[in-house]
Amino acid sequence: MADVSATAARRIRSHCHGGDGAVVDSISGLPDVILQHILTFVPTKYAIRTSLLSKRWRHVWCDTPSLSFSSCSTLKASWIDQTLTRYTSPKIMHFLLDITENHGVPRIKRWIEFAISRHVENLFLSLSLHKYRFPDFFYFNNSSLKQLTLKYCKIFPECSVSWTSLKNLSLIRCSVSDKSMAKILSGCPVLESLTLSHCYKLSYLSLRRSLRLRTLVVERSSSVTGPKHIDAPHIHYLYLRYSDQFYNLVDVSSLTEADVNICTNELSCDAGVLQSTVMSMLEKLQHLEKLTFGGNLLQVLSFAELDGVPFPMFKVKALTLKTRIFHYVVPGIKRVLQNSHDLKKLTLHTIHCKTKPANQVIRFFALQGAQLTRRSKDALLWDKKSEHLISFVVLVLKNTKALENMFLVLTKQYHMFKKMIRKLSRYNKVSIALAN
Amino acid sequence: MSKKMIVLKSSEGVSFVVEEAVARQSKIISFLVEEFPDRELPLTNMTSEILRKTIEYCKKHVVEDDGGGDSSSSSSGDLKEWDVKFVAEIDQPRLMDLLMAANYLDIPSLLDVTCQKVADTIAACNDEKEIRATFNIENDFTEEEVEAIRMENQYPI
Repeated sequence: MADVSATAARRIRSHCHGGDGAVVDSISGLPDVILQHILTFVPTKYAIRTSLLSKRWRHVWCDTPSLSFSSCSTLKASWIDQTLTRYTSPKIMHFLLDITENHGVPRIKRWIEFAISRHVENLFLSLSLHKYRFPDFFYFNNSSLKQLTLKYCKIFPECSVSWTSLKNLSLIRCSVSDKSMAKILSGCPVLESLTLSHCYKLSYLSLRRSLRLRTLVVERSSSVTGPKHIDAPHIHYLYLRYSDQFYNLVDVSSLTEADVNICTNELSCDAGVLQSTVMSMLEKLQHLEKLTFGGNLLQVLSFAELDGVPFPMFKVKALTLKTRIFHYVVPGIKRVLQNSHDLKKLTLHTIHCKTKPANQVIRFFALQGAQLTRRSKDALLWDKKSEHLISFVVLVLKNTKALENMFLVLTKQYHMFKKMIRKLSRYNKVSIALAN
Repeated sequence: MSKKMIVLKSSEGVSFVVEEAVARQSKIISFLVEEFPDRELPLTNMTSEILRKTIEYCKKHVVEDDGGGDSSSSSSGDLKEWDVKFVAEIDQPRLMDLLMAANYLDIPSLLDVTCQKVADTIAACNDEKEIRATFNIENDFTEEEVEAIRMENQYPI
């Protein structure tokens, strides 16, 4: 290692400002690589602007290992072209192209070609309004690519795919069929993480041959249908945000951790379908040691519990609940806690939740109100005030046996309860920690 | 269980006793720890103040990495928030020193966090004059030169 003290020495110029001594140029003395590292964090138009600062800065940006052309409507195609001709770095770590105007297929093709020719490792393309179809060279012979994010793209490889170094693939609002997806997956032998966010056309996702894939993120909303079936026997971590339509986890037998919720503004579908979908998912997740449940899911679980549906026993050791604390989630939480004998750690993230409870759940609670048992009455009397938090802590303490730690990550409205919770923790063997 | 400790010495000669796991986030220290069995490492170009800050950062990150093996996205999100706060509280000259420390000690995540803050400052400036004023950069161009570069750039702001 060279003597870094020398390079660390900042340039000090003795400008005199009314006698207050030296003013330090705190940045120009940094080595080029660090200045360029800094410039990788700004859009290219700002990086180029630094060429006006001083002679020291004149050509620094040209070797920044990152190019970022993000969506401003003033971004002229000719300006991007010109920038690329002046850009000198032989290696591009990050290339971001996010355009909303139609610059024409040949130009976009040329820009992508440029990124690939400079051995881009992390490529982000958002091509809305284009219905752009990638040329063949994009799919094969692209061995430097490690991370790829495509947004608003049509993915339809006609040739075989060869992304031999690709580890992370994210498709956001892309159109991709089952057949195209299979083609892509077969060309990514070292893929470790896959994100499919609101992708349409996809129906059956088979990850059976993706032996190294560990992380799967799937987000689906009511308006976007796929994938309905997920067959992923090798993944370890699953993040699932589903709509209130039917879905099915075919095989997730290697999972160790999952974070699931139903993503919708209003639970509106047929409660029966939703309930059976959720319960069959729970069966697949019952052996996991780490689980995270969101508020909407907990509402469905509450509904199932009140409906007398049998719950599986859980092996969970660390459970996280991300929910607003109100009575619509209580019966579900209670049942999950009672069925989790090994639970050691519980984390609660209180959130502001805009989602309205399912009509069926409200109706159910109203119906039950007429014939309350004492136990469910406790739950039903929880109103919208923040005393809930205390009730929640008590509920957890009453319904768990092996719990050691409770972490509460609270939104502001609960902060006034911090003292009470600290007191509460003194009388229990469970340690309760608060975080903001 | 007793944890292995090592001693880091600042340019003022102040000793900081740190858990080895904390210090090992620096790739350089990780390497040096194996080379020097006496386990006291002089960091002659780092002031106590900056060394203290660096250790604070490493401590936070080692705790989060080990804490019950919690690798969920939420905890990494919290850590990012903490990082933002951490650099927000530092003034600019010290931020530069911390950035150099991260570079010297080879702590990639700290280098990213500090570079990000500088980058945000650059991007937040309205024009090159404001950047110069913010970082005390002396303009050694003539007006004609500036005009020529401006023509060449033609950036659409």
